[in-house]
Amino acid sequence: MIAADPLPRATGAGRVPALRDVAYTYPGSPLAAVGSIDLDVALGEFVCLLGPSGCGKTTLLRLVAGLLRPSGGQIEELRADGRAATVGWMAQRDGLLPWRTVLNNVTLPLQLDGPRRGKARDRALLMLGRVGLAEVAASYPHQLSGGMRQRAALARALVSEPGLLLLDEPFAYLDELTRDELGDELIRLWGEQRPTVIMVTHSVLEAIRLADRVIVLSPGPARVVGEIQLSIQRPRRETEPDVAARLALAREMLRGRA
Amino acid sequence: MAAPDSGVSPPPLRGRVREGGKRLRLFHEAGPTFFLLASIILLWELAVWLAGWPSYLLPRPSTVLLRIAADPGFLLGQGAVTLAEALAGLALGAGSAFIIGSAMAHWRPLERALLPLAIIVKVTPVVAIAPLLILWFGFGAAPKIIIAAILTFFPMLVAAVSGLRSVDPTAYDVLRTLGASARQIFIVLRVPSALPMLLGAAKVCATLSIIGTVVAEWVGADRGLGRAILLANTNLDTPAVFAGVLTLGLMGILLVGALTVIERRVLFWHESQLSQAAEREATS
Repeated sequence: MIAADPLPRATGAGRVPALRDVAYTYPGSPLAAVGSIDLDVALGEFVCLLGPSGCGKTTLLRLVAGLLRPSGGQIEELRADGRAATVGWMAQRDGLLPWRTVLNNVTLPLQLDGPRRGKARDRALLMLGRVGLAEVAASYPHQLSGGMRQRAALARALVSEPGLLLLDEPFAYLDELTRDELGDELIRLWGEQRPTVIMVTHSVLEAIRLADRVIVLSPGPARVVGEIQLSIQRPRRETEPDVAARLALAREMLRGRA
Repeated sequence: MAAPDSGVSPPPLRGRVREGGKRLRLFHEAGPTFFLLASIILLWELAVWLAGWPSYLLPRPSTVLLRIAADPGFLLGQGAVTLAEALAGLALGAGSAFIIGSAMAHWRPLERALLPLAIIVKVTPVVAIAPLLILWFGFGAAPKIIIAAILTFFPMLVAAVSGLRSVDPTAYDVLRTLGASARQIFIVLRVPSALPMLLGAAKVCATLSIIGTVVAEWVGADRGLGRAILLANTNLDTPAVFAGVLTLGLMGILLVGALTVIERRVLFWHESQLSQAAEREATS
């Protein structure tokens, strides 16, 4: 038997959101959570939204995901080709279903599309292999470590080859080592599938290490205060002068001094 | 996971150690119940014997047991009638509560509309409406089933509404961004998330269904344990009253025990079971 790879290699297609003057105020709240944001994202780009805790960046991501409807402005969805317009979502908590095995958790997005069980299982197994979890496919989430659970959540987010991957501080609860490891993993998988990625984080280091472009947000209500383009080769070490300079710049922007 | 000491101890010894653990576990689970029951029965027997009370006031446990042994078929037969009615009422009450609770969890205006009604049904004294139901539906099974259903409806309704709403927010977000339909979210996420609450409520409902059936039988029936106890009461046949009550008690233990076994199997992933499993591991 030939071990063929059923996952097609993506070539940087999918969908990109374009935000026009988007604002959001939670019902009953006197303060806006998101100020007025314009944001264009390129196809296959890795964008980090960097901002202090409570600045409304998670709200912004939920708006992009369609989990919230903006109270002002609009979000255009630009679809580039026939590729599935699905969205992958991953948050700080894994949200794995504790009564399903790791494999069945990763199969879930495919099962929702229709009953092609066997095929879905194969694709999920392959995806688990890619995040290094093939051996625990039959385990339950409560039997895994925090890092492994986030890996499983990442596999679930990517198994349906989403055009857009939205990450809400996905590594916030992990120790530093695991966090770096998963960051590298994410970059590798992004390179393979090439979805457009929007990631929310409050970690300057994480943003500078991973993104093509870092968008720095003000304390709430969120507004864009600056943007950093990064064309530095990955993996990026914080000791490299180029990287160190960007880190310093991002910190200055966060403090409102740049 | 392989046992870390597998290279140290020879296999036959490990087998025996494990067996000992199992016996110890059984002792830990059934032991306290057994000892408490045994000491209550012993004290009771002694007290009645020493005080010399007549058995129509308070029979000795041994008298009750002799009474059961004299005609076990009668108690079994009447018990089966009551159990069947109770189970039918449980299925009707808890089943309709789950369906209506699902609708209420889905749509809040319905919850606001129906909840006061459900509370009225709940606080209606069963003893008061039982004669009416018997007037309407006769001395057969129907009024018993309806009363058991009325008693079990509310606890299951409350459990269904809050259980179906207690979902992991991240899992909910994931499903919504995947474009899952409300029906898919219900099946994939809501029902499994509600299971711990539903099974807990089922235990409460199981005992309530027995009480409801017996109350209805008490008011008017041609058979069943409730009627048997009522007859024994009017005849001052107190040992038979106790025999009937004991049978009801065993019935309750049987139902709740069965639900506990189901819980252990179905909720293996839930904190309640995980912590218990860890405890068992620690004691054996």
